[in-house]
Amino acid sequence: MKVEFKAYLTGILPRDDYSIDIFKKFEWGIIDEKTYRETVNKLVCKWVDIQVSNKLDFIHDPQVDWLDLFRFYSLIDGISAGPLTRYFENNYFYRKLIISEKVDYEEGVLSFYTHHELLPDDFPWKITLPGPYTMYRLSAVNLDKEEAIDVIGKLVAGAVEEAFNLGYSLVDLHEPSLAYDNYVDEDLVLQLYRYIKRLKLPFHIQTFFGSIFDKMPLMLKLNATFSIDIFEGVDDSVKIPVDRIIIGVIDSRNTLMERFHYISKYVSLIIDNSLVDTVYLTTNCDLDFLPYKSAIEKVLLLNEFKRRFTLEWGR
Amino acid sequence: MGKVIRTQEIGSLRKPPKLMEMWKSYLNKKITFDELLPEIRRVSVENIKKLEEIGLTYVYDGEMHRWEMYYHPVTNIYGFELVGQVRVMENRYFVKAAVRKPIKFLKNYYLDEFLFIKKIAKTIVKIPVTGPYTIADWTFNEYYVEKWFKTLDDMKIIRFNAKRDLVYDLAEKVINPILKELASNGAERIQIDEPAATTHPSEMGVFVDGFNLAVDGVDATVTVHICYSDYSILTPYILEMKTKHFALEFANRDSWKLGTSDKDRPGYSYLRELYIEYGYDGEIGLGVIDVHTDAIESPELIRDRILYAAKFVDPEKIVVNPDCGLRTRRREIAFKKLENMVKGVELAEKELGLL
Repeated sequence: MKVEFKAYLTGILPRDDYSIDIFKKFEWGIIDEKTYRETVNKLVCKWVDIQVSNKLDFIHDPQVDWLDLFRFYSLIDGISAGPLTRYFENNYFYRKLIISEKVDYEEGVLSFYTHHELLPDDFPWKITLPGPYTMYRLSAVNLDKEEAIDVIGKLVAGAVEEAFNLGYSLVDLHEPSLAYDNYVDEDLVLQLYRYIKRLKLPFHIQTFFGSIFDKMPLMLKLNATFSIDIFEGVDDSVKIPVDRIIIGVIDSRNTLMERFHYISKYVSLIIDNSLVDTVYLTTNCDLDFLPYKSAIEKVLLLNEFKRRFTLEWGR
Repeated sequence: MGKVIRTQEIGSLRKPPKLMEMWKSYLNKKITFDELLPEIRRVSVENIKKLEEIGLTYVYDGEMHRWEMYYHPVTNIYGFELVGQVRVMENRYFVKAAVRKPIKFLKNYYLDEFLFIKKIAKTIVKIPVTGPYTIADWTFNEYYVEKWFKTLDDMKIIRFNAKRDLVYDLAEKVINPILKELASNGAERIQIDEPAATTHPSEMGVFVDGFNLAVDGVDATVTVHICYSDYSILTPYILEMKTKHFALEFANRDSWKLGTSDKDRPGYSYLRELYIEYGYDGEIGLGVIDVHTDAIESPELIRDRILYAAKFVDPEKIVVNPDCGLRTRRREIAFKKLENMVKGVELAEKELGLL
């Protein structure tokens, strides 16, 4: 079987030491906005160069100045950033969104946070946004269930649509809750996705922090390209009847460098159990869990894995 | 100072600019520790004096002798290597280490500072010590994962075994000898900082066993501080732990409205679960100060938070404290928050008829 391998990054990418210092000083009001903006732009350009030089197939907006993945929604009246809350099983915290009324997405909110103007024209761009199920699970919504589903479904669809209007070719929706939750209500997920589906735009679903093998029927019903985090285990008894799959082959939560023979074994299992003709190789979650230097080493490794997998299975 | 309800600081305070710069110079190897130490000690004395003036029951020096609660142990235990800054939240980062060799005890990295602080403090000293589970959880576990890779295949099992081995090694080989030596040198009250305790629900057994190994045979009052966590994960394990004092964060999740009803105090609902439903009867370190905002809690708000807690807990078992270390705030803000905290305790005691 011949398979095409593509590679890209996902989620928030880490800051270098200089930027960490500048961002903190800007928050404390001891440097001006011009210096801050210049630092953000330089860091975005560095991440673009790293992706270009490693021949990644999409240029991912590095989202380096995002305080967390959900925060941009708090620019909308009726949504606020609430208490600091642990982000799954990590020493990493986000502010829980508090949605206190029936709100609609406001055009322009996402573009306030994107860096599309710094991304190169000759590559396709991508960006990561919160998936509707994870946003539903991690927000505090003071509405009844049906209203909450409706509001969140529309908010996510609004942001996805804006991303495409800004020129992004691919949106990946972070959906760790789909993998993390022991029980996932299928009807709830399908309802949350109905507005995004209506857009008829391509999106990927990134699942991590848990295994999705026991949720395969739901993943198939979503009818979208989804990811498997091999560091959460691979169940070789489950068939994956899809032609495109994303595989998290780089562990963003450990500095230990992955061994090809270990990764290869699990990638083979997935390919053998599926109908895939295209595999997207990526990190299992945001590289923001790693120091900048280690993250870059992992990007080099991602490129190397793509090269070796292409040699082994490529067309 | 409260008559019945006690007060404490959790641990860290922000370092004044001069000390901060000197610490950075030391870390960049521009000055020696001997050159840094006099300034540490000067600020340490200043902090103790200020906290005693404010009227806290238990004091420490704001951890001036440490760069940071995680950095301090991992740079003093054999086997760790610093690998770079990693985000915790928003624009806050910490320098994270990887464990690349089997860990070994090198020295008691708290003893000198404790002896100094004990000598200068007029009131009871409570020394914060970073716990084994948190050190392990905040570390990239390379050595122990590699070790298990040789015999196992399943990454989830490898990760679990590697974490367990690191926690137990830290507890037995490093933290337990440190605590015993502190106690034998007069430490009456030791707070084990375990903010990571409930991070992985499936590892709660490892956390509890690690904690108990660390405090085994330690002749002192041992308390534990846990914050920004889902405490319902902790509840079933509380009675297994060798401590009768849990210092927890509550203010972060509470409202700023005055009042003592359930609706007014949503952040403290866990107390009902802990004391009424679960039947815990030990002490609570009651977080009444949000350390992530400059807004200063009024004494009346502190009072109401305590009065609400007193519906479930005997006031003698309440030790009022900030949610976490106050190094997140400028010093003047931190001290003002602590002053109001003590005033709030006095108002609550008056209301409860304890004065």
